[in-house]
Amino acid sequence: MISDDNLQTIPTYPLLGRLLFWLLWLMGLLVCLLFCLFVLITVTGRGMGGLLTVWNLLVASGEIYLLSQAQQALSQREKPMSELLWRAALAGVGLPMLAATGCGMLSGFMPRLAG
Amino acid sequence: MLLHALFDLLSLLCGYLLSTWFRCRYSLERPAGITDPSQYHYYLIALLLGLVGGSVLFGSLNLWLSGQSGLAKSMLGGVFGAIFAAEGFKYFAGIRHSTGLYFVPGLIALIVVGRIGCFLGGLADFTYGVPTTLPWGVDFGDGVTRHPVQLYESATMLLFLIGLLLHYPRQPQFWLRQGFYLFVLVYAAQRFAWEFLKPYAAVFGSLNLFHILSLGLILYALYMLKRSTHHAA
Repeated sequence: MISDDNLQTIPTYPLLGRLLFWLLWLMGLLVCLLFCLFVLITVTGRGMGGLLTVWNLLVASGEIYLLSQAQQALSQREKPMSELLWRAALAGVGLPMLAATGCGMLSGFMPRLAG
Repeated sequence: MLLHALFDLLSLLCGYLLSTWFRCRYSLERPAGITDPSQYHYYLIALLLGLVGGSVLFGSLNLWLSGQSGLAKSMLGGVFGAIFAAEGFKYFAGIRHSTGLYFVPGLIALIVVGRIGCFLGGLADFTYGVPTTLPWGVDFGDGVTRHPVQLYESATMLLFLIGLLLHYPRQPQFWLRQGFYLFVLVYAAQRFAWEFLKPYAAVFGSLNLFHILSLGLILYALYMLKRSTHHAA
């Protein structure tokens, strides 16, 4: 039986916070799927192959890790909303920024660094 | 461009390691004035969104103004966006301290190493300088020797980093109070200078978009330096 004390320690997340979380999380998922596609393209030899496959795999793996950690933290309800949003922001915005590094993996697909 | 990607990763690693060492060495647990963990997370989110937004917005805008298509990132745009977001957050959160020094050593390491990646990225990176006959001009592969402006920036910021690391133990309060604004001033001033050596489109007289952003940052830094000096007195 859950006591009142235990109830007080479980955070209740506001609706806006949850919406933002899922928005960022879905952005991360899209990036993850995109880089999985890049992996397929580079593996099948239509891209530049080799090390780029490793890079795309790293990004996709990083996204999977961040997304699963964020989702787990949400379902366990042990972390404050701010930390959940930070984790989702890392997955949805932070890692994609890093992934689109330099002049990109596949010309025309990725942002370039200029300035 | 894979070389550029590897240097970007290396720059992140260097930034992270230097930043972690600096915080541990001088016991900087969180940015000054931010004590609540939740506030710290929201502050980081604001910084991240500002950094990414500013970086892509101004990087792409400069690319389009220069007659090229696509999306681009810009470190200067990122710094501009992050400062804008951080100051907005601090205003609404009622934080009056300078919070930026916490990030400065890592950020400089990012610039110093990252710019070497830009240099190695060559012509495709669109970060090279205008043609020059100076003996240290670099041929990026098209037979034209150009200013290696990426390395000018890298060297300037490395000097600033050395100065910070040497001087911080003697005047920690000065650096905590004004170090971030000093960093912004130096970064923006050197960028303003190097922009004259870049082939970007002018948007106001002979000034390009990054000149204007740099000027904005210089004014911001001077104002904040003056304000923090006044408050310290």
